[in-house]
Amino acid sequence: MSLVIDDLSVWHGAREAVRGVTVSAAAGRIVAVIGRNGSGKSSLVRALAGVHAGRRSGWVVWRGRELTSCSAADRARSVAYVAQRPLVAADFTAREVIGLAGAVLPRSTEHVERAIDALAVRELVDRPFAALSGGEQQRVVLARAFAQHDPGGLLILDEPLNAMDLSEQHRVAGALQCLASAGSLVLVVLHDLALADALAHEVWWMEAGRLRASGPRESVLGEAALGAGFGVAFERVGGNLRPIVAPRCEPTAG
Amino acid sequence: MTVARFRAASWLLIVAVAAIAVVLRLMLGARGWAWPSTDIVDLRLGALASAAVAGASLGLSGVLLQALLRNPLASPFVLGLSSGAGLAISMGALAASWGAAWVVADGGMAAATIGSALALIVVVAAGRRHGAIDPVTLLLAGVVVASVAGALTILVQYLMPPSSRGDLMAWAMGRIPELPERVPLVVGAALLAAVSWWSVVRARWLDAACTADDEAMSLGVDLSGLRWRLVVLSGALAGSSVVLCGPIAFVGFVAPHVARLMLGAGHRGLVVASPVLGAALLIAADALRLAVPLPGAGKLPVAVVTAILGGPIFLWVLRRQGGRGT
Repeated sequence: MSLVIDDLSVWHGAREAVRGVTVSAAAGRIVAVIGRNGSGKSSLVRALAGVHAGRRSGWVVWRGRELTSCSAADRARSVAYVAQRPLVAADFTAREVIGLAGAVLPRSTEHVERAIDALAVRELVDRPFAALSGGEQQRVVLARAFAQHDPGGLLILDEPLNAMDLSEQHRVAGALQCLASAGSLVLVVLHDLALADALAHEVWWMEAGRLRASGPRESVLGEAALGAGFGVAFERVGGNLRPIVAPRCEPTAG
Repeated sequence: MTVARFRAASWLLIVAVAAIAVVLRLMLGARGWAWPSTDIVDLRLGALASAAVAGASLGLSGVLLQALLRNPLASPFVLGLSSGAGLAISMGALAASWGAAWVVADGGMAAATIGSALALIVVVAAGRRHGAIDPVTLLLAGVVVASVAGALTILVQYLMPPSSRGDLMAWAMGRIPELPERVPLVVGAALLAAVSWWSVVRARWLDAACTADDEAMSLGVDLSGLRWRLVVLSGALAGSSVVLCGPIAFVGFVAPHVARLMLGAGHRGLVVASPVLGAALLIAADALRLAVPLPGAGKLPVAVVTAILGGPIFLWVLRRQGGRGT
């Protein structure tokens, strides 16, 4: 396995947000991290990305190297990360934001141009980042992570698609699948279970800081298990297409 | 006009403005406009060198503080660094008058650095809400620290022997010395050169520090180390300018803003242009104060000129910014 997480715990002050998670994943896969709000998804991926500033214990090993003890620059060579709420507190253009991939690491113009094409943001690059819509900003920040990311590396995305429209989501999903087929491991936090079902090879399901389930998506995203975990009825829909799991909308009493 | 051409034209304009300010200051004297005679030129060069080093230090300190706090309203004066340095130097002068001359043996440079860095640490600690820096709270904390440090400086001045009090009060109002003391000028210039070099080398780190903490770290920036260096270096620069010319308002705020309007937000340009513009601004303010004497009161202190020019710009940016920041 390329990524091995062993007994990882993460604290926010006195609160244990992630409790003894042990799991692994192979390169060339897309792993969806799901769970209810406050279940520890973001804390888990922030610890994996090495950006959790508080107390933690356990091991995170990527391709034989322990990540939590690396310097920030060393870690950035292997791991690219996009935060849940990107912030750019300067009047940069979109191209300058993507170019931040080379702030510390040596990244050529080619890296940046390739990322611009992969995320189809060429028409945005000369516009001020602050003037872009939420979905466009997310694509630009993803392009920055793509420019930082080397093939075969680890890409961690915390709810990267939540402000995007359907066509943008589709384009980004395609770009992530390309990266995985080139040998990268993509960890992506998702609330949209249908998207997780369509995109991911494997699913890690977090609940109350613990890993409730992990494995191939077919085994984790069962209607009955999801219904029990989320308190909502699910069904498989899709007709002749590959069926995906979706919540069943029913009127609530009162 | 393309962005590249606009920026090239901006660089030319910045150099031209700095050159005009230097020529103006050299030609302006107590008797009006004239190229100075050889015995006068040394005095004017002394004033020019003091204003250039202090103004450039303030400009660079301002741009580093704005990167540190992700807040374009930050500057050494607004955050109380200049007042903190002023208080520390005044206390050093008082200690020297009581016999402990070693406290200010370096011209007050160490005391000023400690005073400004301590002021910044207090302001940042008081400006945090729920673990994050709140721009409005930060500014209020800066106002409080500046007020308290200013009041304590006045108290220290009252405790000084009457023979030394006048000089200290003139310095506290901001003045450009025509015969600067050698040690603060040389140490200030060396510090400015060293921090400028470091800032150019680390300019891309400063760009990355404008993103969220998580993202800056994931880009490979040692954020904690970078922030400590920014606190110490911006504090040392502010302290150095205060040692040379006293507390000067708004130069450290206006210079990075003008540079940003002309060159964009990238720090490769900002860390070079801000000190040049800071120097030009302080030299021009000194020239203006000589050119427009106040009837019946002689020449204005230079800090009054920079405050009159910089205050409205600060209010404009505050209104445009709407408290936006970290």
